Amino acid sequence: MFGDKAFDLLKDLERSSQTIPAFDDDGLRQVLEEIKAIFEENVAQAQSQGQASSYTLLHFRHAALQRNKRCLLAYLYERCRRIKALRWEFGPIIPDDIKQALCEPEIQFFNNYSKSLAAYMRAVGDSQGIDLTSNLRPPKSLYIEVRCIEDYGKFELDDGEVIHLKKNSQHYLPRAQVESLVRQGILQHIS
Amino acid sequence: MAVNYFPHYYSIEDIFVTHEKVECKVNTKLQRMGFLDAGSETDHLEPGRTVNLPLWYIKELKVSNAYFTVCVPEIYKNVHKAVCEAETTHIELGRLHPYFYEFGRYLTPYDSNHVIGRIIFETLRQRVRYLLDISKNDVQSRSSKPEHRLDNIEANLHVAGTKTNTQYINWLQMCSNKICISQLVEEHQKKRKRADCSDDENDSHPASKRATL
Amino acid sequence: MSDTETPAELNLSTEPDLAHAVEEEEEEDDDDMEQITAQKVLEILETAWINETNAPELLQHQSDMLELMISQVSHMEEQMRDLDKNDFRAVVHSMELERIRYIMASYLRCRLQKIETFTQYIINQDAAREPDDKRLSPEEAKFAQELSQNVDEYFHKVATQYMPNQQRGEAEQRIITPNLMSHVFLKANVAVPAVIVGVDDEEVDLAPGSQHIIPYQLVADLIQTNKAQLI
Repeated sequence: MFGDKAFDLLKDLERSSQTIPAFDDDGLRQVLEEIKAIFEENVAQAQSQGQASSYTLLHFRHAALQRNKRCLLAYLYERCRRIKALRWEFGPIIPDDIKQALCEPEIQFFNNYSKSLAAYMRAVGDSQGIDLTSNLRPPKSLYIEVRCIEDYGKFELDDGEVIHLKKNSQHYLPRAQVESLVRQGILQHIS
Repeated sequence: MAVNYFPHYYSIEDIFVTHEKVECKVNTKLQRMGFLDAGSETDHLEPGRTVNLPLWYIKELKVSNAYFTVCVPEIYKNVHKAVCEAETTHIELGRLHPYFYEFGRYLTPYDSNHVIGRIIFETLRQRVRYLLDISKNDVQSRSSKPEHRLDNIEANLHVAGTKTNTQYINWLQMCSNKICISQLVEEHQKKRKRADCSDDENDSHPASKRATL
Repeated sequence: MSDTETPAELNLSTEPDLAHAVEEEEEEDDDDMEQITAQKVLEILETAWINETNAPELLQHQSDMLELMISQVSHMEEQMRDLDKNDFRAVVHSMELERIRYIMASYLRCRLQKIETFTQYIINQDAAREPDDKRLSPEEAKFAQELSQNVDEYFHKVATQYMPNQQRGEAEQRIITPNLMSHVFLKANVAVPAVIVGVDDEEVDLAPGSQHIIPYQLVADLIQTNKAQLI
């Protein structure tokens, strides 16, 4: 049936357990080919001025073409959504193994998005700026207890104090300054 | 941001619903459309035949179109008795149809007897109380997945319900304040660990694996 | 970008009210805040934040209030540098600053989330509005434009350039619109007579402080004019 390949694109994307499955170049190409084929058939039929009764066929093919487009664009839209999430969760640099799943225009998309978001965060409040990727939870205390999950090395606090973050060491640190390390999985917030 | 089910052009859920097929009766001879009918012997679609058409095509058809008559799917007829007896909470709706309500909603205009609309409305009305109850009682950690019991929309409500309930409990116990590792980073780390483990295995059998590298 | 934070959590804080801390600062300071007190600014922002998280559509931006608040915060930070880190006042003040920062960040994140979802819808709506009524702040407008272009470019490169030309109406079909009829929880700030509820022009008078569940669209103007707020 028309549109089945386009539907499979979405089904695979939804079923995959990966953050972002590899860009389905081949699937995409097949859908584009189907769209082109349907379009050309319809143009040919319209030009040959077939009988009125084949209008239904024309109409059916048109619906199939729109359907294919919709599935394909929904596939791209969903990938956009996930790529944007990468910026919020990993920061401006995508881990290499995830990057491999993206196609060139997607990397471009990520970089542009990352740039506009950064520009926006800098410009907020008459160019005084605010980092929206931190301050994610309502604060309850200034300091939190954290355990170090991996060797990180030296970490300098705002007041100039330098601490060594060694694997399995525990620290009592200002929440605001270590939030991003917790988010990146270097520290673990313990209570 | 408050989110409710409100499908748009890119909604994957809506695309899934509209992928469903519906039985239709052919009313007139349709030139060169025999490909829709697997049992057809000619190039054309003959009147009187029944074909399965995808919802994405049906919804482009006028309700009063001269070509096809949409048949009410059996599932709605089957539920009818339970609806009358107010026994719908026992139905495994998800097994019956994963998009019971949405699918029905799309078909309502084509249903000249107006039964589907009434059935889905009554079904939800009867089940919503039950949905509320199980959302309150199923704690997130206890992963009693009621997937086959619930239709897609119900399942979404159920997830939202249990999540809200868990948040509320956490708030009461004042333990909602922990900074968590970002979800994607966590997934990614787990994957990396798995990859590392399999690398170790590779090292222990260097001879067998090297060859493939 | 999934904000699960609930405004209610913040109210649980047992710390002294921020407003006092800020006001205290202000008294020491000169009156560069003119007519409006820091407390008032914070109140406005808090209401805007709670309204924004509960409304299905993007509400009016609060650039002026945010600007004031951000300057106030950095000003307070400046002054606190002179205080001993273990001074009780320093602890209280930093806690308040963290709270303000959280509110502002959460508020702006919520707006960005809406802008990202309803990009084209919001751009189109704003294009028809007078400069003073625009919902997007200039920075947000720039972000929305860039995002829209960025998505179009990606679509074009991978797919749309290989497709037959678009037909009329297709672009409109793709615009994602908010569901303005979503139900919201509402609290009336003042007495509001004769609010139309439901389809048959049924009317209800809202008493000050009374709470209701109602489709957003029917009360959108009350939120806009601050006669009621979402909860």
